Amino acid sequence: MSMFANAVACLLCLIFAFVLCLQKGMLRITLLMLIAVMTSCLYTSFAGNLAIPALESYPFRMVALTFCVYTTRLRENRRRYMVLAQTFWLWVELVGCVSLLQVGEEAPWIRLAAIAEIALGCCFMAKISREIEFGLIVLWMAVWMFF
Amino acid sequence: MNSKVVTIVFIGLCLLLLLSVGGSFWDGTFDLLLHGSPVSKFPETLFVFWLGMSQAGVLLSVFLLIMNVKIHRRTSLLLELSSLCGLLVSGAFALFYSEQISVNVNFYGIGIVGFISLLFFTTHLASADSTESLALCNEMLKIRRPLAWIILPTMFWVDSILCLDFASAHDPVWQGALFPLYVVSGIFYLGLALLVVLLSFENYYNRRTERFLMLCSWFISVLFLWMLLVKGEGCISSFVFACVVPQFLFVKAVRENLWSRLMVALCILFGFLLKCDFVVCHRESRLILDFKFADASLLFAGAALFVAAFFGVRLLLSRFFENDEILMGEVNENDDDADIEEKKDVYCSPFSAPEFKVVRLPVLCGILVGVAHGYFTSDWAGLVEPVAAYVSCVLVCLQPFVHLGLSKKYREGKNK
Repeated sequence: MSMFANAVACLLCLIFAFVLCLQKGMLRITLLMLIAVMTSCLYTSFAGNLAIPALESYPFRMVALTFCVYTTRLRENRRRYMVLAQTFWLWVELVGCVSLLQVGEEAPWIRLAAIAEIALGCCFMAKISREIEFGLIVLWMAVWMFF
Repeated sequence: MNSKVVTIVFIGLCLLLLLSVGGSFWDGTFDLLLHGSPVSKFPETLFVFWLGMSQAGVLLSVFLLIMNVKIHRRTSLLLELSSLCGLLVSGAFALFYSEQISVNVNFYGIGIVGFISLLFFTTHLASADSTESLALCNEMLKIRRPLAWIILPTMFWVDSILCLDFASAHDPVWQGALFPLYVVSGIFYLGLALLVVLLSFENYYNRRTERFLMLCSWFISVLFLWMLLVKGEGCISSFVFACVVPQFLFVKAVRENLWSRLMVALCILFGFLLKCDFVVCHRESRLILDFKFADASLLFAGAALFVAAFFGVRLLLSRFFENDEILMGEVNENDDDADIEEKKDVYCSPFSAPEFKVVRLPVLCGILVGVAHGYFTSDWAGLVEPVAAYVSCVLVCLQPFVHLGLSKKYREGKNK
């Protein structure tokens, strides 16, 4: 995908996360998550070429980024859910990398390592202040855009 | 548990098995049943299906525990037991039809997952047994969540590697990053459907599970449609059974009737079976269109074995299942899980949570053993994580005994 398409995807994730933060109740949150997944799938199919193997998991990577950003707004057990969301992202990326290796293409190992490092770093955080929240979102966006 | 219903179901399954074995004589497929055939792929389909079942229960139980979703102890015990019985049935198929099953399965990985699932189940039983030592109960209770933290990534790892290996060796159509995601979410969904079926036998109705099932069916539908879009292939009949039929749960009459609820859950299981058949045989609805009595016999044999093993163990261990926190009969929406007391979360600074203190040393040892295994065997993908998880789980399970032994020694020393 082009840099611009990646940036739009990242923006979409931020919008999904913001809208998710405003919701209350299991049904409404799940409905919105479903809309987020569907929109991510539609966006990927319009913005990218589905014949490229790397784009197979693109919508789920978008969902993972949405979860990561969403967890910064949680009030309870934030660190735990933040690490869980990043582990989900890590799993999607890992599976993507292994499958790309199997078809003989180059896998984005740096992205994988970057996510792993941020997830590990999150485990060490005592208090997650507003500034750290912002820093984390910027880091995730940087990983999304540049690796 | 409703023993009368279980007996009727088991006898019904045995009668169906006898009927289908008789039918296999009639349509000349009895030989397939006895010796198998390289052409028939149904034993492989059933092996894959029961392998999925063997992961579903523990995956769901562990996930709910980690996510702090309150469920009854009996519910999670049922899930964990169903996993072990699923593993037994898939093992039986692998044993009897080893020549027909060409799936490249990492048996060591599956074995390790089975073993740590057994450990998880046993610790759960021990923590539920209030008639024994209360100290042991409390110690076992402490290691449940740490075990869950180790088991969840192991299951994801083993399932993902299994899917990727299957895709690369069996059918390149499934090769790609999507297949493992699809399978793992399918297993999770299967666990929910199985839970609805198992709870029906307990005369128990949990509306939260049902809601969760409905919500998951939407995600599975989207995943299926995405798969169809990307790969250009998908089993429509399995989509109908596993994703469209559950939408009937929106109708109150369907939702609140035991039989209709059961039918919807069984449809999901059948849809999953059709999906397994499609992945193995590459033919849409082969099971229905190309029906053979030998296939039906195998299906009923597997189901009867599962029912016998599951409810046999369930009866044997009923004192653990039916403990003080039991809630029998239908519950209404307002009472959902109302008897489970809410624990207020206390803030713990990083790496100081009680769970972390339990896992830090075992996980460190596990990682070291895993890395050593990877270094000496050069197999970094297949077994490094399962071996690390195996060592960690064993060490975590030994901790309560060490603690109890040390405290006993300390007390004895003090008395002297």
